[in-house]
Amino acid sequence: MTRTTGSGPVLSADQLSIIFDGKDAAGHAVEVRACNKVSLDLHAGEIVALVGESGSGKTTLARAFARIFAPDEGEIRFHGERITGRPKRSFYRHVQLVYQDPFASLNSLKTIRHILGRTIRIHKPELTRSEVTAQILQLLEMVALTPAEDYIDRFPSSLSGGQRQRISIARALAVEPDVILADEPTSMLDVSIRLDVLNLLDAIRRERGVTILYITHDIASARYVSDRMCVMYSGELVESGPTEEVVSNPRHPYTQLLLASAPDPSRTKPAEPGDTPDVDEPADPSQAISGCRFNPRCPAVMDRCTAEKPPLFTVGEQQVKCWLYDGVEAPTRARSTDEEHRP
Amino acid sequence: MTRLLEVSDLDVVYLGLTDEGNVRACADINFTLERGEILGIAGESASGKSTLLTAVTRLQQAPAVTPKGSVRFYDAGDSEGVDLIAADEKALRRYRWSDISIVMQSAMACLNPVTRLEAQFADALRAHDRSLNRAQIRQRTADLLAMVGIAPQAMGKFAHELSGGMRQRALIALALACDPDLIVMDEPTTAVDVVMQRQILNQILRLQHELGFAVLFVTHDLSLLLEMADRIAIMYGGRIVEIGQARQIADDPQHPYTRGLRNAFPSLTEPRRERHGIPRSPPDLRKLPAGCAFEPRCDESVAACAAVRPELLDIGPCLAACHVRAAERGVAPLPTARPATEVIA
Ligand SMILES: Nc1ncnc2c1ncn2[C@@H]1O[C@H](COP(=O)(O)OP(=O)(O)OP(=O)(O)O)[C@@H](O)[C@H]1O
Ligand SMILES: Nc1ncnc2c1ncn2[C@@H]1O[C@H](COP(=O)(O)OP(=O)(O)OP(=O)(O)O)[C@@H](O)[C@H]1O
Ligand SMILES: [Mg+2]
Ligand SMILES: [Mg+2]
Repeated sequence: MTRTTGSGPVLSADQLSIIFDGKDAAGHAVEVRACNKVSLDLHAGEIVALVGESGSGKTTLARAFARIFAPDEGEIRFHGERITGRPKRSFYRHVQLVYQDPFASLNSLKTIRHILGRTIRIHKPELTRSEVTAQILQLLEMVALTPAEDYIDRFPSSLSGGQRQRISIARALAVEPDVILADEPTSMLDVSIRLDVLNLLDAIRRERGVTILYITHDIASARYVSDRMCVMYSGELVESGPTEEVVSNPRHPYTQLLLASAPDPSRTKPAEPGDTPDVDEPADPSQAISGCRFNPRCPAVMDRCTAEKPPLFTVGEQQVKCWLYDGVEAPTRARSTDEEHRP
Repeated sequence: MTRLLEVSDLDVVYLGLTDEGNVRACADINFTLERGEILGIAGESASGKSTLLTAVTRLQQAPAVTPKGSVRFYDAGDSEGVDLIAADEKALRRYRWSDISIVMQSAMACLNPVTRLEAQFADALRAHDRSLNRAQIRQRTADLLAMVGIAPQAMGKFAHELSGGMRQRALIALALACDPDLIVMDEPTTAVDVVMQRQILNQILRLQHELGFAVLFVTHDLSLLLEMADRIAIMYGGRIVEIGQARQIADDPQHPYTRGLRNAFPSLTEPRRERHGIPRSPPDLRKLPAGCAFEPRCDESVAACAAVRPELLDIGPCLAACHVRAAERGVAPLPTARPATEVIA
């Protein structure tokens, strides 16, 4: 898979917090920091995977990027420009969200021509009817619903889940966005058709240079499609770095736990059942935890972890929010020769 | 090994308002399960996995019927076995929850929302052994919860007060209450996170190792089964299309659908490479083709595949229902494209 590196970030979050009003276990009103001081840059043409357990704040971060939520702290920047107050309408066009459920997100009473045509016309009101049709056909081809003429007058109800998800992606593409925020776009789909949606995302970024944030629980699929991987835990970004580095050499104990837990088809049943330690449920963002939010579940917990919140440490190409890496500058892994000699 | 369960020629049909409305959600199902064995059943959505489990445990409800086949269950020391399909409700009750227990995907739907956990464990334990007194029941409940890593205090709680992972584990503990020979699990970890899923699976494996029960485990996630099952059956369009050792399914799958499915799971450790899904969508069970249900999506199919349905045959490494594979291995010749009945002498 190609790696494109752009200049400045297209979209970035800087020390972003999104705070909801919530209740703790005892029913008292508390602040829920669904995102807590998250900084993340998305560069042109890159696919960034955002992984983490349920409730870790992935959707909230995506919605903050799409400015569905205004930041409670920190800021969102688009091409380096700080977005203050209500963003311009054009912002929403440049940053598109694709949702998890292709069944709920499309109006099943309208044809594909209507669904895509409407979006195109809002974006480019000057287009004639036949120009709009031409664009719809082009979009359908882009998402591999071919022959496009066969699909244009169909209703979403007559399509399979994978095909509907392609229509959602085509609709997001209709406005020629810079960024697509794909929130678990494959989790409702059958396994045999998930890869095609991932391959489509990859094609979109290669052919159109679109930046993609791919949110998922499925770490193997995140590894398959992404250039960089970010791991969220309880509202915080705890590790990020080049995907292969994070997967082959996870630094944060939470990332290590996540990777060790993920099913891997290259493993088979052990002769003796494994003796992995039982850890508790993930920390809910409404829970008050002093120090590192992972400390109650962490196998490597130290005194310091319960007292002080760790900052982000840089370890090689990875950034890790963990005290284990205080003062440890791990050597960067040797580059392969062919990469070294590249101009 | 001794046999525990033998499913023969089983069909399950959801009756429609008319004959055309009937859905044969399971057809010609044949498999066996040995004592202490973990058999995984994998397949896409609507391939008939849950239907099969409910039929095997006789929990199916109208409009589901089992027009054909048998499910023979061999109780300890019983060489004849009993056919659960033919058994009456009274006989069934004896097996359910005492020899066979069930863990379903939605723990919330299985646990009673208006009684405390303790009361539900008491019901299950008493069904098995009426002589237990209150203190013994409490002790046994605490032991069972401890087996799945839940503190005894939780027995005073209602299901909705537990987290998703705890509920699922409580359900597994409940399934263990009567020391069953067989636990049937339908996607027991789909609703929980990967970390919790791993813990639950490890617990199942550990308990299975200690207590020796057999498991029938259904999921759409083949990669999970590869890691925990002894043998795996692959379902497609209501039929078993391949059944073999987990190792073989992982390393040397035979049916083109199994190969496609196997390849659809990217690995965390193998080198990254481009992969492709299986083109087109799963079949509609109401409109199954005359031949192999996978034929419209298969890149290896020949003319015979659309016309004649392949039988599940022993092709060497495993059992598989595929004309091309059977011919390749010299097990059966490719049938002529037209169904045998139409062949003119
Ligand atoms: N509108 C809201 N009001 C109050 N709390 C919210 C709201 N939206 C999300 N939360 C809380 O914020 C936290 C993060 O939720 P979010 O949906 O972002 O998680 P997620 O990582 O996307 O989880 P999942 O993998 O289950 O989709 C959760 O604890 C959730 O309950
Ligand atoms: N009560 C019912 N009445 C009619 N048809 C049904 C009924 N329940 C299930 N079916 C049909 O039977 C087929 C098999 O369903 P089943 O639930 O067994 O699939 P599954 O493999 O468990 O799928 P999933 O992975 O989605 O749980 C489907 O086509 C389904 O629509
Ligand atoms: Mg989410
Ligand atoms: Mg099911």
